[in-house]
Amino acid sequence: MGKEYTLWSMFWRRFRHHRLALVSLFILIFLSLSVIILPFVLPYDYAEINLKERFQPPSLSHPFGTDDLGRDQLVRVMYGGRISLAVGLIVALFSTLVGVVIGAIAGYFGGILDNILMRLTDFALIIPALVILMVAGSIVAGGVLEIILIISLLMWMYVARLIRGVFLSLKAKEFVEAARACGASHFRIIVKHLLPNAVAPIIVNITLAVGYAILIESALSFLGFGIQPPIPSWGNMLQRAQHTMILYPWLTWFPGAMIVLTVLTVNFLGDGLRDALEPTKVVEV
Amino acid sequence: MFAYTVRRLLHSIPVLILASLVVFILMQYAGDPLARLRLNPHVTPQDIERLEKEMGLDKPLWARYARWSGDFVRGDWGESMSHHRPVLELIVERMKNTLQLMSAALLFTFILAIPIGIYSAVRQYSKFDYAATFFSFLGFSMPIFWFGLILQMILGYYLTRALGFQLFYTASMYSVGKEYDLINRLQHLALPTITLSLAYIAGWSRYQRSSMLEVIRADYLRTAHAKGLSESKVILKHALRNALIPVITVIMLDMPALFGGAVITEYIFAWPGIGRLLHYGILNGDYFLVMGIVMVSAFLVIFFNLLADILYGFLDPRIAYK
Amino acid sequence: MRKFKFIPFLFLTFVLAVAMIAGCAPKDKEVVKEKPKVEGPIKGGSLVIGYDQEPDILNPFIEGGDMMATAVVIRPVLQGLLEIKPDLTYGPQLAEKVPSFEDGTVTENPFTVTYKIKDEANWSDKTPITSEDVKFTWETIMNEDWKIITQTGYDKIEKIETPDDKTVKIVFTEPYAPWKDLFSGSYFILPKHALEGKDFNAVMNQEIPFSAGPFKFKEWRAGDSITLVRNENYWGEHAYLDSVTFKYIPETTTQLAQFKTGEVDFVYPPPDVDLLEQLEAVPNTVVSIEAGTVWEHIAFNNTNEHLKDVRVRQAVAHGIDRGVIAEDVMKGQVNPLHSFVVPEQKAYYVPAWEIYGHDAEKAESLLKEAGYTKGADGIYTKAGEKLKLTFNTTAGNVARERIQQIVQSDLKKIGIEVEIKNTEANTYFGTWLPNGEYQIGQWAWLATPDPTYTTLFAGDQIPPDGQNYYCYENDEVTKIWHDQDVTIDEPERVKLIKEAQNLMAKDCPFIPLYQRLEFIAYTDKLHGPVNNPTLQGPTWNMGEWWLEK
Repeated sequence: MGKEYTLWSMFWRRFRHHRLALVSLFILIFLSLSVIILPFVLPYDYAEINLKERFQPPSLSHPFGTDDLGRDQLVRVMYGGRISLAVGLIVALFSTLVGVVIGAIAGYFGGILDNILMRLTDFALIIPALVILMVAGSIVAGGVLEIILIISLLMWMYVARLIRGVFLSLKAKEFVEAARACGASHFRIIVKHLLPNAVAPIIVNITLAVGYAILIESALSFLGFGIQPPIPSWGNMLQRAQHTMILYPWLTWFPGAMIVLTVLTVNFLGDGLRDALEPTKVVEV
Repeated sequence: MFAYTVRRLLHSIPVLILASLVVFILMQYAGDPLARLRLNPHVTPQDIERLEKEMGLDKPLWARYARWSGDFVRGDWGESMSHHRPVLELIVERMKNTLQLMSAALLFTFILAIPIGIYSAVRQYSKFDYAATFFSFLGFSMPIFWFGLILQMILGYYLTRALGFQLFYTASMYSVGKEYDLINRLQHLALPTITLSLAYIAGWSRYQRSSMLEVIRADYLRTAHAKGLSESKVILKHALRNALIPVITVIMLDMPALFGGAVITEYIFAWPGIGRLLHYGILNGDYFLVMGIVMVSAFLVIFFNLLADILYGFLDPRIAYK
Repeated sequence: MRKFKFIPFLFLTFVLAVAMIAGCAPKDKEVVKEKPKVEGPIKGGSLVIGYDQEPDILNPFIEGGDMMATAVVIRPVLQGLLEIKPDLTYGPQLAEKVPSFEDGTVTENPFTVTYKIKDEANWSDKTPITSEDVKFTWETIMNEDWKIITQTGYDKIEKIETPDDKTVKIVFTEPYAPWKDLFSGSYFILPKHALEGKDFNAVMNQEIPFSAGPFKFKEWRAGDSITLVRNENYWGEHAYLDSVTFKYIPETTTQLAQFKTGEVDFVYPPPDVDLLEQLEAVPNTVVSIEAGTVWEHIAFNNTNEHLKDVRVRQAVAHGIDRGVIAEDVMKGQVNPLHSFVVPEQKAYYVPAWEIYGHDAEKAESLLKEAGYTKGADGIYTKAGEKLKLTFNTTAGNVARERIQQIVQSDLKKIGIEVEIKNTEANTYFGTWLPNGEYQIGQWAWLATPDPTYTTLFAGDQIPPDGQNYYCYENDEVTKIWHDQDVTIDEPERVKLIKEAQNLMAKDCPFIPLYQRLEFIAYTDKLHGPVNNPTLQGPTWNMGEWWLEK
């Protein structure tokens, strides 16, 4: 217990050093809380149409204005935040999970299994992202789950390669040999001995993947394969408003600013985590 | 080294075959090249049947794949179903335009990102470091289509109004009648170049920074310092050379994505490049065209990966290829 | 300078960024300027037209050439026997006049049509345009080697006689009511001397080496632009403009920016009502809006377990507030459409769907009549099946998605649950519609001046036999559609088509919504454009356009 405590406090001390990351963390927490709470508190529904109040600029009753169907933009941005953040988080976790499993198996067992899995990874990397996005997008019409799957298809390969590399270099180390000599199962060795050594890159990867997934979702919306109406996401709100950017600018401000803010803070957070988790890579000044 | 290269290339053959097969199958589900005709009240089912036969769409999937791959291996990439032109000819034509935009973006990113990375590393945790980090990440965080449209509005429209003449053009490759005017071309290149570079500046400068940081700590630099060499000399002569190696590798790995992944930029700025061609091909179920572009882009990925590895070994003699 | 406060700096930058993004710069103010009367028309000048879609190929006869983009470019280059005027009537183009019963140029038994080609009409190489060219055009269309889009109508021609150079007698195997569309709607007359013996699948895809109109093809810079120049050998009145370039700009927002900076002089954007205000705000601009002949509608899959009951379809029709869609969503620029015939097709039009006013009570009573009961969640059910329908259309179309969401909200109020599920156009039209993989759909049909709709509404045209994607079957209606196709007598045909509208409105296999807007905007230095709401496109009279100095 004591040892863990010191590890944690060391991590925290280093993390605190990265002021941008610290601020980012607070912004993200604040953002997540408002996205969860506000849709319950606000007196509007994200799908409630009011054609008499279309395109209202920001006001006291509608702080973010109203959209092309007279819906309150604040509640839509918040609800869209739930979707966008959920897409970001789930994609990050899911694609990292797939990547870790494939990378771990390939790196640990090596040989023909490694060869097959790495060719599979090459295969996924070789197909242009646009083909995967559009073809998959046109085959399964965009529900939130489908979008998550499609974006994940684009992102697992990098983690897989990373983890394989880590495992390749670790499995020859003495402590693995020792564990094997003691009769530990492969599964146990992977989970108990190897994986903890790869925790840092995995966590950093998850963080960065959140931001990346949110951006891909917005690009997907631009290409016409995003999340279906009336469910809002920051990406599809921004895309639907861009052609009236000059007439009704507030419709792009808020979802756009949210995307920028989230991706930005998530990246700073990742940067800070990297510094804190991989101390060998940072020079303390 | 030669044996290594050959082995790597041989390894990629099954991957290429698998990729071509999978994309070919997916394209059959993605769309129908005759979809538009089905919405034309004058077109009868007999017309559709006749056209399907003429275009070979009535044959089973495996037969079409066999035909395509056989032709492809022999150098015949087929004819684009929508443009009624040889696929290879179309790709070459568009690749030239893409290359222009890519080179400009590459150059712009390199010139900006590398010095930023170096300076950030040398003056770690300085104001400059923070500001550079912040802005490069800010650029990375913008949805690219939004950023492109904002640039158009501000640098294209409002700036033109303020100046009274057009400094940056909002879209396309050249003005009518000025197809071969270099200045005009640069004025058209500016906005898409900035948009496209945005995402890469952040990545490359961060990479340069951390790579530089690692090198600065290395022993031989301390030695160089101890020998009494000036700081700028140490940094530029010794540190930079070694720090650039991993950065070059990353750039190589980004290259294929730069070639194929510019569809949004090309779309917004009406740049007639390969990304838009691919986008159009997928939308119209033009699978000969899509297959051609996928194969080109696959070759590029394999080539640049290999190049990165070889380059790495070449620059860092500690790595030996078995 | 010493102490650098980073957090406030961050905040400031962010605010600045947001402000920048917002485009806080002042809105364009319309410059009100008295325009002096200008002398004209004058010769010279070149025009740049911004257009969102590039043609695949230029040959309008073969697969890939059926795009509006192709029509817009070749309309000033190639000509037909007749042309379609903005008011949906036919006028002579290469023909001296429109044939008719009165002067004996149309005969009923056997059905023949005789055209006389204008004496002066010639190709750009000064070869006269002759009856042989018309015959050659027909032979080309019927040639099985070429990827001809459609032979509809042309396959009813038995033979084409050419008694002399300028007289064409078309002999049909049976009466064919829409005969005016032949050799004039989407197909043109081809030069025999230039094309005979050539591979028609390839010869005029990337260029058109001849011209019968005021302009001729100059060059195509793939992916970027197509340029036409004046045809100096045109047989009619020569064009004023030296050249016209079509610039292809796929993104509408970009097109708008290009128009505002003057990089293009003329835009023909997609029919997006929100663009209107933005275009009107551009100084020194003429904007012209017309209700087009493309009409949007909400379609039912009539074989769906709920929708096969006519009362459910009628309930939906009563449940949707079409007036609000026209008034609010379309900003009052369109009227609700009450038929599949557009009002501009004056003689044939009956506002048959007017019987479906917005009436939620009536809708609910229709549902009850059909055996549905309202559940606790406010949604009707029948035999344990919830009245839940999916609504599909083409993804990414802002106007359609708006309507979908309004329909969803309207129908929720009468106890019908609607789920939206869209896909991109190619899959939608290529796979979903032909396979009947939809419940409620939304797309558009285009009305040609001739009101025949047999392939869409007759009961024997259900896919794969035709384009009756509604799977709508009413024997009486089917018979009418087939009858009117062979009814040459105009008043008789009008009666049949009016009857079809009334019968179909009662069955309600779909709900017409509105006619899509056609709009063009151009610099006020340009004179002459006349918006043509038919699918002829705005370039139909480009020979008459001229630019101020």
